[in-house]
Amino acid sequence: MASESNHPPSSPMLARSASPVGAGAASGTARESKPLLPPDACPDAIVDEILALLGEERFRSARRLAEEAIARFPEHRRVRNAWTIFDTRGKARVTSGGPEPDTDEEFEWLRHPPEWARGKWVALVGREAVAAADTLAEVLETLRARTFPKRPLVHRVD
Amino acid sequence: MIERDDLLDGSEEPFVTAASGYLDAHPNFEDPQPRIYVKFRPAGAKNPYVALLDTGAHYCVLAREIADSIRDHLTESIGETIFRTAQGLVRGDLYAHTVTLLAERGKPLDIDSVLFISPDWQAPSFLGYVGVLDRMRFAVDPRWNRFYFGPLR
Repeated sequence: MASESNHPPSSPMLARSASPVGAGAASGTARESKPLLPPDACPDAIVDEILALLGEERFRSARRLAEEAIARFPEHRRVRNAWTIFDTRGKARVTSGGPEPDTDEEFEWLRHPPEWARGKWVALVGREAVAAADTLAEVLETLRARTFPKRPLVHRVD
Repeated sequence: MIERDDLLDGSEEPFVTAASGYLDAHPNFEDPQPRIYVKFRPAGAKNPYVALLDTGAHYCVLAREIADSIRDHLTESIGETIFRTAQGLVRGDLYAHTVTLLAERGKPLDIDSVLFISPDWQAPSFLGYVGVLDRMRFAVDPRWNRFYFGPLR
């Protein structure tokens, strides 16, 4: 994760004097205990600020802002959406479905692809390219019309 | 000496719940690179794809054409932001979307992830820290090219 100190504010969106979320978030010097949001903060403006901070790779400031925003506006749609960026709890679930066949052969093919495959999307089943085209859409269309012993692994070979 | 219980966080549950092979060479790069490519499937897709596992990347990025193929399954954009890459700034949108890590042993793992999608993205997909790797456990066995993964406890 990039250090925030390596990325000083540069975006006009982060002009702190006009920031809808207060000067602390912008300068990166706010104390942890000091709220970033003024009492009249607008939730849409906060989300815009979070996204601007992310664009500057200032994840810590963005997260802190998001934490305050979700605490104050838990029902606001855009705030809730923005909070999903930072809320990592319970987001991974073991799901149904058994183990899938290994793709050792497909990987071996990808290690040494034939020259004709350069620049194409390919679908592999074992060591066989069962579809290949310039676009992914064409490959998927080809796959729709056929059945295979296992799901083809799809990749673009540049 | 590390005791077995120390590795189980005081529980009897294993650290991870699944494993899959990974690719450590890539046709896009002429010379072998110390990189790890794992299989994943975004919700709405039928086939598995390959993505670079990159703990140094801020986002998870979906290749443009893959994103186009599942466009109908994407929900509302979280918002537009900028992704700083070695090739320059790329503008795109963040989406909350489920991706599945496919298991060759154990069960697949569904992850409510955050994906960066841009019409200007020209590189392959990759799974970065924010949005996927920060919400799961994972480990790598380079001797056998095995990628181990499971939910956070």
